[in-house]
Amino acid sequence: MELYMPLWKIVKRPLLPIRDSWQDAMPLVLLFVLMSVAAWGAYRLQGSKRQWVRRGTQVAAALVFVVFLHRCLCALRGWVFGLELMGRNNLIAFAHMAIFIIVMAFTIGMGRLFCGWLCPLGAASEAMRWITRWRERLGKRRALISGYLMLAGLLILIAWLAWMVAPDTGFFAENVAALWGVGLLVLLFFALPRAEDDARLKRVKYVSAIGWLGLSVIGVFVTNPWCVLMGDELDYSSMVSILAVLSGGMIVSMAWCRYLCPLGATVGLLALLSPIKIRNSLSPEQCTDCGQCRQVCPMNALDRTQVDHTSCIYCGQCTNTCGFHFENELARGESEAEVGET
Amino acid sequence: MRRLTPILALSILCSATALAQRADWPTFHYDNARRGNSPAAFETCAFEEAWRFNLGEHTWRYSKGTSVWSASPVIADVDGRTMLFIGAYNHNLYGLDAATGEELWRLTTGGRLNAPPAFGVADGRPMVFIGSGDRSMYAADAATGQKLWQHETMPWSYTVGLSAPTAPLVTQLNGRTVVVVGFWNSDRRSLRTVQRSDIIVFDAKTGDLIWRRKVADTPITTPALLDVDGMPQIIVGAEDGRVFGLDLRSGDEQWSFTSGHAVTAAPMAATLGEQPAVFVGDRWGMVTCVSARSGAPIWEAKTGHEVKSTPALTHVDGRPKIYVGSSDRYLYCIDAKTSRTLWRYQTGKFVVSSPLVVDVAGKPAVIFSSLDNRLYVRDALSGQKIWDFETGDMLWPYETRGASLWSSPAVADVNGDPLLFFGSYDGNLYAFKAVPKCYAEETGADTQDGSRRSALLLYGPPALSLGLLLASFLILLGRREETRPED
Ligand code: SF4
Ligand code: SF4
Repeated sequence: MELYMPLWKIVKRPLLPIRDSWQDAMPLVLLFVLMSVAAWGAYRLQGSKRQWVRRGTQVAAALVFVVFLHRCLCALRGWVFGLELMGRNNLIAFAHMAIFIIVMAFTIGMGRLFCGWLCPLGAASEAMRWITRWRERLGKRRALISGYLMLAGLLILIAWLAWMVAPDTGFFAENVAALWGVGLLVLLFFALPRAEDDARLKRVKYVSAIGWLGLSVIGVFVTNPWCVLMGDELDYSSMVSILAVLSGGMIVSMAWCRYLCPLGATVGLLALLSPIKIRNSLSPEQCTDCGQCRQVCPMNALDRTQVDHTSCIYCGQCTNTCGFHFENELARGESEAEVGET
Repeated sequence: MRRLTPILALSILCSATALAQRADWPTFHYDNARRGNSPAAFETCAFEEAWRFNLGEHTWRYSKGTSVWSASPVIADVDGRTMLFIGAYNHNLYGLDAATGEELWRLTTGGRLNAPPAFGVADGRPMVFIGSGDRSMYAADAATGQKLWQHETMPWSYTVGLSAPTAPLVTQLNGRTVVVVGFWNSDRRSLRTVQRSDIIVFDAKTGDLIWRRKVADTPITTPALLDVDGMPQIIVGAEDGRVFGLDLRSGDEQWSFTSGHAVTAAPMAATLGEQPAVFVGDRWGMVTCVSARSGAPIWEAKTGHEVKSTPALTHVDGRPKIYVGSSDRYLYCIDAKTSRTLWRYQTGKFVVSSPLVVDVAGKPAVIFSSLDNRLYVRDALSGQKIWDFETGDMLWPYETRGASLWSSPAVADVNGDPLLFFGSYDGNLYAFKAVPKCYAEETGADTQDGSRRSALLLYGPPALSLGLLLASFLILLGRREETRPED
């Protein structure tokens, strides 16, 4: 099958090389700067200002990592390579570890900030939400029929593509990403009619992360859907899987990020450690269960006044609905201490 | 004891041009410029297995960097007998009879032999040189396999890693035969880690060090040799993205070019017209032609994915053309003057080996292997099929991209008839000879990959899926119920 390398890397050579090398420092610096802007925007800004800055960082990150720079932001597999290469090839080990450490450090501080503010795949998935929103406006039965038809169509398409690009040898090793993509669409058959079971289905992401990490650690070359967007891995498998990821977003809002993204799952777990989280100031009795917050949340992380912190991507959209706001546990501790002193 | 025939004695003094006429394969990619273009000629366009030499039973584990055979075998005449030299991951350098595949000797080193050896004659003695994973350079007598000298490039410690040597090149310097080799060594000792690549020049006969220079922190590629305005230059690429030229006499850097990405395949060097040039591919799939005078890029051509293949150069119809494989599954034929892609041929998997060009049935043909377990012979003008050979599967269950080294085919005259050699990852070293019938006559039309799949499977699923998608959108577009049912 003929597939060509997309032309989105318009800058042919890296902009700022370290020691004249391909391991350009630019992506690391920019990643840090963009993450800092995101952290500031999420924590300090409010309402539509916050959303504008968020769109800004998403577009900037997409431009920087998809169009201008040639550095795979593989935070997930990178550290495996990084540890392996440390002391053997410090330069490349540094690049791998730096990405991992930057993303993880910000996650420990502010949860899945990366997902909601930077990740080009997350941004693209979010952009697909207009279709799921559109469907929400239909009656339940028609919405379901339309969803099933669309899902069946996409599943056939993706499975056919995965089969078409299957290489003659090493199918499993090379097609990991495509298999994950097909897996996502199969999973959606279960997710579509059972919105109530969403919280349980979301746990699949841990299985995905463990599988993914396991494969990386034993040395199978696993690719991610975002390899196509950010890295220079133009393998067919990743191309098929990015199609699957984006089309999955047409069925259930941010389906990949919700159920399967291994990086999302990893940072989701780390997010539990972060002091800055979305909280609701209403007591459960005050909540009228109007469903407004649930409707705006792209990750379906809200259940009345409860927040699923492993899913929340810090987009801040729910802060426009009753009672939800970002709260800093450390600052609260301090202010409580101050109150105690006086 | 003198083992020299008069012909060998002459060949010591041979110039590069005279070397180009020999139909042996004394070093990686045929000659020191790594052009992969042998004057050997197959008379017909069908091949048959002449012999195979198996090493498969020794493969008992996979580890990163495993290559069942070295990147390429080396073939040369020794005392009137054509011999093939090949190193293997099991630490052995083998000397085989190229006509029969019979093992004549083996030399066991202390580490894996991933890089190809090189053949040379020093002071009348035919010798084989190889760098081993045990950080040492070895020289062996080509006729007997007896170790003549060994040079350790970095002392042993508990924390040293496996080193990555390059294929050597054998040449003349100030009337002496010298061996040029690159070694990447690493030591993980805490706080004072060592990661360095050196270019080292040895006296071929004695193993004495002539000069040694640190050139990079990352692994480097096999060096190529080119005469640039009277100065012999060693041209090397490095994983840090640099390609550079060193004066063979002093080791001084003459120029350097920074590619955006890691360079892992050996550069090929040639003088086209007046322009000494280097052709090199990088991890981003860019094939760049660089001036060997200044390091300035002359042209670039983009392939779809990582290039781990050393280009082969030939003149077809009076125009210089290069052939290079890419991990986008294609073999490319590129005009070496204009960078235009003239044709490309799709295989089932990555083309990570270095192609070679020889005459097959009076026409130039390109021979290359792909990770889809096949060895391809294609018309160099059009890319049309001449012959295919299917090898077995890889001996290890999976591969980590970029971690394994892959072998490239070689061609040499053995007792007057050309043979095609290929060390495959299925554990076999194959030798093929031409037989008097043509593939096309035998099987008729060329069946390309893809056409095997029936039209129903090709168009059915996408048509069905489009239909379903259309239906789902039609439902979406239908009458809206503005109120949510829950309300
Ligand atoms: S869950 Fe994965 S794909 Fe989604 S935004 Fe986060 S990192 Fe990106
Ligand atoms: S809980 Fe709020 S901040 Fe988190 S993803 Fe949902 S809407 Fe965004």
